[in-house]
Amino acid sequence: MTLTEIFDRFAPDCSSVPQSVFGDAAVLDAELTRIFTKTWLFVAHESEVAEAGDYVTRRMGRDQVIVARGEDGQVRVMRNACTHRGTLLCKATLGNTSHFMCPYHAWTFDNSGRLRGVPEARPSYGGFDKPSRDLRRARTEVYQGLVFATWAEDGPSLAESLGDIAWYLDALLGTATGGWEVAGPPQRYTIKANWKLSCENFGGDGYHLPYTHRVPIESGLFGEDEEGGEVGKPTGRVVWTPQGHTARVGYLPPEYAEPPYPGYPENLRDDLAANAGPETLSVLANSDVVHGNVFPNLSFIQTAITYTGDEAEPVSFTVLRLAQPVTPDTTELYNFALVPRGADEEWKQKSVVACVRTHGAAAVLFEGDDVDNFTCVSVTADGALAHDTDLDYSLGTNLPRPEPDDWAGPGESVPHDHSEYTHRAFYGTWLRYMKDTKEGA
Amino acid sequence: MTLTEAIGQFLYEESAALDEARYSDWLALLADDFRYEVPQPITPQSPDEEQYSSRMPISRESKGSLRMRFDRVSSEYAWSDRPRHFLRHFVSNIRVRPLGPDEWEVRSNVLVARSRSSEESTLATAGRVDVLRGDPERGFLLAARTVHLDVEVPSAGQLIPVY
Ligand code: FES
Ligand SMILES: [Fe+2]
Repeated sequence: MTLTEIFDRFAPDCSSVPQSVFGDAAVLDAELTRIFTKTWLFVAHESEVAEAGDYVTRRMGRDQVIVARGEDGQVRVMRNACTHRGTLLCKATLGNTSHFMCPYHAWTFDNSGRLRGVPEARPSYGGFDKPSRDLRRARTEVYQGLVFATWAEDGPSLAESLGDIAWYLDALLGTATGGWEVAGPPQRYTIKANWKLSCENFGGDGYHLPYTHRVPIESGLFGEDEEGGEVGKPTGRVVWTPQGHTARVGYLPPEYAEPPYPGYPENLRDDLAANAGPETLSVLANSDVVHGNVFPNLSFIQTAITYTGDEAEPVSFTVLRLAQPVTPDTTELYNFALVPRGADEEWKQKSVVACVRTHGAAAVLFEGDDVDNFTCVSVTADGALAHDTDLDYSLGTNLPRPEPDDWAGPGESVPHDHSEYTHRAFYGTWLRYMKDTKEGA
Repeated sequence: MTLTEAIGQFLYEESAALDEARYSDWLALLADDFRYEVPQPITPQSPDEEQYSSRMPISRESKGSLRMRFDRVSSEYAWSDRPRHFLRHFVSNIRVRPLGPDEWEVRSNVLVARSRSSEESTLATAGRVDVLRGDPERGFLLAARTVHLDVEVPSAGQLIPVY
């Protein structure tokens, strides 16, 4: 099946999606050039490269990059490939250095990517034009501590590309005096599933919660129901933007009347609320979880967990989940746990534990069942019948939109927790990029 | 039986309880303050630097959280644990060092094989640092276990077993 045939199978509103998008090697090849070289991609959190010379090695799609803070204090993202004959320059995951020397013929680049030294340059290369051999640099911008980069030399700024999802990132990461930092180097692991399955799930899949996560919910992860269980149902709001970014804000049953930012120590909670605007406070009131996906592959979640086997106490955690494609059915996941810089060490550790036990790489209580589902979706995309199978993403298309809607958050949104609006928005944007074959980057 | 042999027998029986899905037998071998930790493997620039970070570990469990984990297996909705996995631990290179009158640091190497239904099996090797309490007459309890995985980017399958 050709790519065009695959694209033509999509329903115009993406309420049906061909199964080939998860298993076809040509689809992944096209994604890597048409999406992963064109969009702003998350590469690191600023706090990972806090000092001049700090660096981490990452990938943008399948392209190797170095994220480094130069001697001038600026964070840059450059290709981790020697401009002589392509050797991987830096094999470490993280470190601090002023220069990267290629192991092959010792071409040496400074941590801003400039070529500084070439052995035997004068006798052997003559009029060698060094600037043309600097490391290829990606445009780099930082938003709320999140470092993004793109190979697109022109095109929208990061702020323009984020659009209305920026407001939700502000609500989560913009209200702590002193900002946020990574708890430590991220968890990394591979799953046997297509990268999009993690993104579309994190992006707003309220529908799976009571079914996939029935056991942990019943065992009190989010606290017990009030005595007698006579409380309303949890609800939720799903949000999407024209750039394909999505979010879901989950709400406790109304009787809880929980103020914004649950699961933080008192002083921190006051600080977060004091720095939030009235719209943010109204959107977060009685909410126990916000999660979403920044197109294409940066997911996020902030939630409070009550019970993971020790004493019951609501503890909030924030995790960024990056899904890097490797093959159609292999994805490398990164989990970056973020903690407010101002929190005390003891609370930071509690937050890490809540994250690790529920949404971490080895978190059987919650995450394990999600990964198991992603794998089970990918495994059936491998057969011949996948080529003429379309999957159902129509949930909620028949539900009315409230008129008027007094929801204070920006972007398009509906109060239909169990719907696939966010999935349709993700694939709508996906399709737009995939059909655009203009050379670029 | 020497102390090292007695500790070896304890570790073999302990991992057999995991392999054979006798979870309550396994939990009974843990001290109440048991700590299980799998730090994140990292690759720093210099070979002298630490290869593991505990700041955001892969696992940090207690007896309570592990009990919760194994209790869920009996539920019909424990999707990732049903059907049951094939699991086999191989334990070797046991080295014992006293920490106190009844407390021992026990280092060992493990090879763990896991698979489920028709999946390919995942193998993983790791070094373990355990703390055991007790003596050969009264028996031992496992008080702490730290697992150093021999891979920086493990597969999800390699992260399923308790090591
Ligand atoms: S390939 Fe890097 S110096 Fe030759
Ligand atoms: Fe989930």
